Amino acid sequence: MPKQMAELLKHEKQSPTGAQTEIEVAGLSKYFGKRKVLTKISFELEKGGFLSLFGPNGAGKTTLVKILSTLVAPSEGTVSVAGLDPYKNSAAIRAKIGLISHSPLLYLDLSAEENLKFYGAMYGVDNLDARIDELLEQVELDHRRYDLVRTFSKGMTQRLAIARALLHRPSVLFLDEPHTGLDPHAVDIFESLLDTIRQDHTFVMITHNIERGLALCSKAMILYNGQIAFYQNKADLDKDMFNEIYRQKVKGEH
Amino acid sequence: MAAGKQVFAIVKKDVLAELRTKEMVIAMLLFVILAMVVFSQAFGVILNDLDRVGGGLLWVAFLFMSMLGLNRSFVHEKDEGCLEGLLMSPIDRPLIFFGKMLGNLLFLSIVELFAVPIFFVLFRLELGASMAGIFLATIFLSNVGIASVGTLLSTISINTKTRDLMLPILFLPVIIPLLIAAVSATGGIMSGEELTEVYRSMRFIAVYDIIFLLVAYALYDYVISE
Amino acid sequence: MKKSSLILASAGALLLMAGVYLAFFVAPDAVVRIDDRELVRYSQKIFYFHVPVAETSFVFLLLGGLFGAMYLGTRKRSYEQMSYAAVEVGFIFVLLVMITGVLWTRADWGVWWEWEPRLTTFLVLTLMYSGYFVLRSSVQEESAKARFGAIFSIIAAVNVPLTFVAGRLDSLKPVHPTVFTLQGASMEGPMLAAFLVSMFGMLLFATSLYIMRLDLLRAREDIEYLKEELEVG
Ligand SMILES: Nc1ncnc2c1ncn2[C@@H]1O[C@H](COP(=O)(O)OP(=O)(O)OP(=O)(O)O)[C@@H](O)[C@H]1O
Ligand SMILES: [Mg+2]
Repeated sequence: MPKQMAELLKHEKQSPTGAQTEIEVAGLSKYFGKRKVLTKISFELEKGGFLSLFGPNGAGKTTLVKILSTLVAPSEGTVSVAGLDPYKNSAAIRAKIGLISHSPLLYLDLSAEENLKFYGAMYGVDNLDARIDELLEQVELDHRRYDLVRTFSKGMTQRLAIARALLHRPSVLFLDEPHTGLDPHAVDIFESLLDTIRQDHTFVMITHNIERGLALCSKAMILYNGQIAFYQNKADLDKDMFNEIYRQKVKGEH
Repeated sequence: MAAGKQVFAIVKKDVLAELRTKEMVIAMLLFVILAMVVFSQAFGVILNDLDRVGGGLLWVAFLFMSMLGLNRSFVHEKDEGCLEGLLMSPIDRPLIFFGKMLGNLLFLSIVELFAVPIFFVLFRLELGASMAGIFLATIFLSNVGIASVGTLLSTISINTKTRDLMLPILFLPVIIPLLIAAVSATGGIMSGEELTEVYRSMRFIAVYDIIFLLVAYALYDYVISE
Repeated sequence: MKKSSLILASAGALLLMAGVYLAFFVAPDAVVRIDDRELVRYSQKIFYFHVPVAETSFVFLLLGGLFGAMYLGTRKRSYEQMSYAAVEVGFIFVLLVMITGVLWTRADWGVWWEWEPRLTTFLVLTLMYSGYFVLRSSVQEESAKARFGAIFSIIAAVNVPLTFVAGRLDSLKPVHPTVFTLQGASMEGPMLAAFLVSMFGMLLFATSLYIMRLDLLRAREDIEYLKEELEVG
């Protein structure tokens, strides 16, 4: 496998990129104590690119995204987002990043509006009230804006988490299983939202939904055991190989 | 400018959430009153000498009560995963400290504003108006130290396996110098000692406050992010 | 054992023995009499060890905080080990202060424990640094353990002098004999000589302990590293 991977990476470097690089990861490893969670991850994502990240539970996907979003420090290797090193210019980077994570990052004892107002103040969003109106309308939570998040259903909470992540108009978005809990209608809302900002935004999305992941992405990656098991541009994606690796690694079939 | 807004937003959010539930302030107040009752029952005899032991009694109740609030302030933040949301936003990490510390200071002071009169009534103590001012000033000055050290250490303790159990072990030894000075100041006021002695203790508390505000300011970035 | 720590340890031991000799045979006895009856004569001799032990513990606790700050600034593992080793040595000496203090209290005042400000201070330090070890052991991840350990070693080191000053705030007169005041040492001739010899002996001895401990920590880490290499390979 390593040989194959090296070829993939070589292939990647040769392909003409043209666009500016937005995310660059080189030789990234992460240990939690003695457990090695990520091993020598290297890849690049151009500005406006969309990376779909697949992999079984515990592969290290969330850890990778947390490192990219400045929440977790890498043990080895370098990371750069929007041309900045997250560990030197973290405040500057964080202003450009939006994150949808496993937990909604919302305060249960505050209303939908108060949550957005709080984060708006933290990010210094201009015209905050108008922006909040707009987003609540888009995720169709208008009618619940004064209700406490504690009283929301899971899907509604996730919708609000989406609004929260987009609030400050980030140019890089990290989406960790953003579809969890969304009903089909909410998935449509979410994807049309992504569509409107697809241009010159950069995305990294973790998902277990192959169909959607492959439909949206410009690059696809499978992470297995902290290592890159598959990484290709969508333009020349070898669907059979993807399916084969996905079947082996993620579904655990042989 | 932006910094002030961010700190204010953190305090406001904590106050809003507390106004909703009121669970923390009420629990803290009940705890203080209960502590006083427990003391009066446990130390019935020496309470005749309240002028001298009163200050100590008050501070023991306040210290344990403050830990209740300090733990809650971060367990909340951590459990709902909001700490990550806070860490993700483009705020200088020491400002998170000031936001959380000011909130804790506020809650502590509010509870004590109710608890002090109850304490004086229950133990039949009296203070003149001018002395009452100095008394409250001492308490507030001490609260700054308690909130600074407490916010710093509770951020550390929620990151351990034992979480909120860890706070007393770290917090109490570090706060003891302040406790000694606070007890000596309030005890001095209540027993009508010379004010120079009281001011000496208050000066010590002020120095302690400043030192730990600086320490927290310098260390908080390391505490909160990897 | 490395040569340097061996030399330091032997020099320290020699000085400490010289200190014992000077304390018992050269320095004057501190005789306390009540109605011509001799109450104590030799118990004060423990002073020549009690105080050097106390000052040595300070030095190492403060060094622990200093190395902790250097670790946070540089993230070099070696500073973290230095901080940990210094705190460990400091802690052992804090315990020794407690033991010698309790012995002295027992001999002079007839009780095992007296809530005397400075002895109490050392009890507080014992508890505070116990907290340091409990904190480290309740953090799993190695880097977080190092980080929180360094942070708390700084907080605790800052708190050491504060605890001391607070102990003297009380308007109650301390029963503890005060030897060093702002005007300088209230000791002369043979007493001072015996004290200084013990003091340096203690510092050298503690330094050798520190170096040995540091070597051990480094060796342990090397072994962990090799183990991992073997596993991977
Ligand atoms: N804070 C932590 N401390 C220790 N181990 C951790 C920590 N966070 C993650 N891990 C470990 O890292 C590995 C990868 O976790 P991660 O959350 O990145 O997986 P994932 O790919 O996102 O999985 P999932 O599909 O379940 O979300 C797991 O073995 C996990 O136990
Ligand atoms: Mg995950």
